[in-house]
Amino acid sequence: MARLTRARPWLGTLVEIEVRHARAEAPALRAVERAFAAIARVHRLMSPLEPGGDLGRLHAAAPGRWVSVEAETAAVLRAARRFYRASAGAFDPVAGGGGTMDDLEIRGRRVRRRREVRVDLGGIAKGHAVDRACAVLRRCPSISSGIVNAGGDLRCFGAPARLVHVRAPGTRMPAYALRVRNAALATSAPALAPGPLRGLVDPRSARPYRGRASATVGARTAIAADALAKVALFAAPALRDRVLRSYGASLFLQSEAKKKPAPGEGAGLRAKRTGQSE
Amino acid sequence: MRHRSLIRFVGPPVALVAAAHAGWATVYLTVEELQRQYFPGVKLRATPVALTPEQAKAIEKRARAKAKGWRPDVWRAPDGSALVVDRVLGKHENITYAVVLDPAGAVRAVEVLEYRETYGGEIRGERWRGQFRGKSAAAQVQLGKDIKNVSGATLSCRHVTDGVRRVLALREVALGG
Repeated sequence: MARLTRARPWLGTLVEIEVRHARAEAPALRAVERAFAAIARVHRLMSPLEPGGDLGRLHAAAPGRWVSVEAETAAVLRAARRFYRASAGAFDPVAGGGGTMDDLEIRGRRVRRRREVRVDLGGIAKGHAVDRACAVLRRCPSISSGIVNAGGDLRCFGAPARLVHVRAPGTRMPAYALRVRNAALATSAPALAPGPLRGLVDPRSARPYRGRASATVGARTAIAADALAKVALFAAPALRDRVLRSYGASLFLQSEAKKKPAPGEGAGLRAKRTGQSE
Repeated sequence: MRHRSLIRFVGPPVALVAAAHAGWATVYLTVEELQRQYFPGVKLRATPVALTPEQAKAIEKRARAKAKGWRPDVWRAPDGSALVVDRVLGKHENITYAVVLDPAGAVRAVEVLEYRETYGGEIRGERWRGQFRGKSAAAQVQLGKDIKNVSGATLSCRHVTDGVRRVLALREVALGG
């Protein structure tokens, strides 16, 4: 088995793809190229940085006007709406954009805004792109395993399990590691530095998240991991646990210790398992 | 063959805490591999870049980025295609990346060659370290060697995309047809 790894800038971050493949490199390289093409497509359709994409055109259209979007975009918007409803708004791509997900109407491939709101598919689009890239890679017969990582939203397939380091909130430093196999992971955390994209918004206040906690969620798909990582930070604990359990997801929370921990006490990390993790 | 899903907590990279300037690096592609992949069988000519003050100013205007003293590595192919290798030097990350331009000067590909990250200055000391005292780590995670996959706050690729814009300006201003 040989290893092939590439990284390119898409979706406002660096997207890494690594695969293990048998025999000659050429078929695996072509599959990696197709996987990046799938990611580039999501970027062009759904990135807030693309004025000509589906979201760009939706924002350019007056509220009340229907906009036709690609089936892929409509599917992601419908997935966002499902997470929004299941989490009672703890996940909301319109939070911080002047309204809520209820301000969007989706009918088939047509979407319209009820009011002047801005939709940020940022995180969930990354998760979706990762899922699409993995689907492309898995169809290549010479690829036995792989991982796609879009700035921390990642998914791996095949054996062996991979070691993923999760950063301590507000820093670049690894705080702990997870062994991951055939699963997706996403982390919601305070921004490290201001960037061109809207940072993590707390839907309870519709303002940028000011907390210091970080939630890492493991799920079957990257799109679910991403949405649920926000639910994990912002939903009340009972609802959070119910939603995570319904998706068979695992949660790892890092919270800033309020006072100095007692000797022998690990105050910084709580590993909470809901649903199956194995 | 379907493998079962698994997510298991491994433990903190205890080895990290002792290092003052820890970090990690990944090489995705060497320049030679990049040239072989995008210009197979093509004779590339290295063309050193030495910008005149006027050229630097023109690039800065087009790309809204500093260009004085900028010296990326440039290769030209007989058909007018170009390969530019540039570096982003941030406070915590160094990125070496390449832009492949077609004969018309449009971007054919952007590839990251090498990514390097450092944590100097972010180690918070005894109090943070104390949070893991007494917790048994399932495995000692070796710094540097093991860190390949990371999840956490999203890091922006803004510096690379700014760099690509500057490369496009370079092509227009100084690399000709």
